[in-house]
Amino acid sequence: MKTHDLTALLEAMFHRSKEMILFVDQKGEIIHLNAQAEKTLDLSDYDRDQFVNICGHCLGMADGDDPDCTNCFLMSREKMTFQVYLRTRSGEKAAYIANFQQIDPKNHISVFTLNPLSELMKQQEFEHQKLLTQRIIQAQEDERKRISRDLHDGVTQELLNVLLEMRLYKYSTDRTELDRKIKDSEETLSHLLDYVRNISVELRPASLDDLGIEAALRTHFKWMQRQYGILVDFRTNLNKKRYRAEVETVVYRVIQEAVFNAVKYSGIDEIMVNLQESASHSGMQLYLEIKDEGAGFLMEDGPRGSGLGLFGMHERINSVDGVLNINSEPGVGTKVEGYIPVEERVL
Amino acid sequence: MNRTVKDELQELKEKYGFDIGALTEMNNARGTFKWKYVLGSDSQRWKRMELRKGSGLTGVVLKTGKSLVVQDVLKIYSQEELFRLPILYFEKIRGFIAMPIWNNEEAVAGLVVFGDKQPRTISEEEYAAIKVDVEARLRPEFLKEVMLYENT
Repeated sequence: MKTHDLTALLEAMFHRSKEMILFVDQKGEIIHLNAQAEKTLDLSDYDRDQFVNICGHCLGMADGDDPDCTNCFLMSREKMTFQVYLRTRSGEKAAYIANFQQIDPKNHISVFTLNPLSELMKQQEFEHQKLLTQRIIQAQEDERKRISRDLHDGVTQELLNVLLEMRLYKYSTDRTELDRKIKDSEETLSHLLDYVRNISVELRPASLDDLGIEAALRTHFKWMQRQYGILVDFRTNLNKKRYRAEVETVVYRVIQEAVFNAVKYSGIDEIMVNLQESASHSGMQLYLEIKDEGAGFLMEDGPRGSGLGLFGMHERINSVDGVLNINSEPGVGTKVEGYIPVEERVL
Repeated sequence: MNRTVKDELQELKEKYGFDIGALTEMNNARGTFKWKYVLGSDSQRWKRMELRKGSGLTGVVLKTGKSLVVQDVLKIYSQEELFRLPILYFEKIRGFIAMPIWNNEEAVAGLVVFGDKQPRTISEEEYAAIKVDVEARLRPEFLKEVMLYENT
């Protein structure tokens, strides 16, 4: 067992390993790097005789989002495992699973090892993306089909009716009868106007752009009551305040989706929605809460629908640097909470 | 004892063994109207729902003036489509018959729905029998209540 010298073995491991191994000091300067690292990293811009810095290669840590340097691993004394992006020799940005550990506290030397994100994970991600894309496309098609049907069955048919009615006007010799026919057409047209307005509001309410989140939500909740008989207890301190258009859209759509989910799955007549602006440690934030005391579900269970709704809510909230929490318990109910950092927009 | 439209609805629902018996108000010129009774429902939602002449289940029956018979909604509607037909979605109706009720001026005045929470085969004979009963028993009471309502 002990016939081999540990130093020789370690050296062999360092030079031959297929993972990148680098020794760096606390400023990130590279003291040693192994052959694999040398082969992979882009060293073209550096003078090979000088110490080069790891920051010249590193594009930042990433936790599913865009890479950034706010919590740089160089500051850490504990062992860390994380995902990081590096610039490679071929000039591309590549993801690695990294380990970082201080091995010489006196001289502040750490070992930094890097493995490419495994092919398996890439493949999984790819498959997942593909499935997701398929579902999104399907949902888009379904939505188009619905709108198309609404337009065809509702609008086109009714317009055709009015057109036929109007063509018959000229054969009417009796003035009273003509008046009645005109009144009928008028009625049909006014229904039609309502109908088109409904379609348009459902697609995107103009009040969201013109009047803001509060007004748009109040209109939407009134519509929910008429359409589904659901009561929404809406509380807010927004008081006509306006925010960036992206934020307003996200808040509106996330609340809309959460309320729809409650209507579909909770089996309950009343839903509570709370939307508050408050101070947070880093400025102002919007807090949104959608709560029902209905059926609830097991968090670990798969989605009842396509799963795109929840995915969409998370994606939307992420896009404005917010966070979303969902809690549910069978027999108790469901609570969706979100926080979004905001600045008030002065109009 | 005076028979009401509700009694008739209840009796027809039982006679043909349906879980749900639903009847609309008189469809007036204002464009929207509501459910008057949804017998067999255990929620209050239907009381607040507004029905439109041009859309949903009521829209189809009112516009065409024809009955709609569906053995199993899950075979023809997706969940999303079903959600747009709230009375079917919330009352968990799988098989149903929806029938227009005509007034004396030959216009559709209302709509009656008998639904089951299971898929249900409704034969030609059964359909014909229900139609006769709706015409002979439900329709006169429905129109009577409408007249009473309009005179008060």
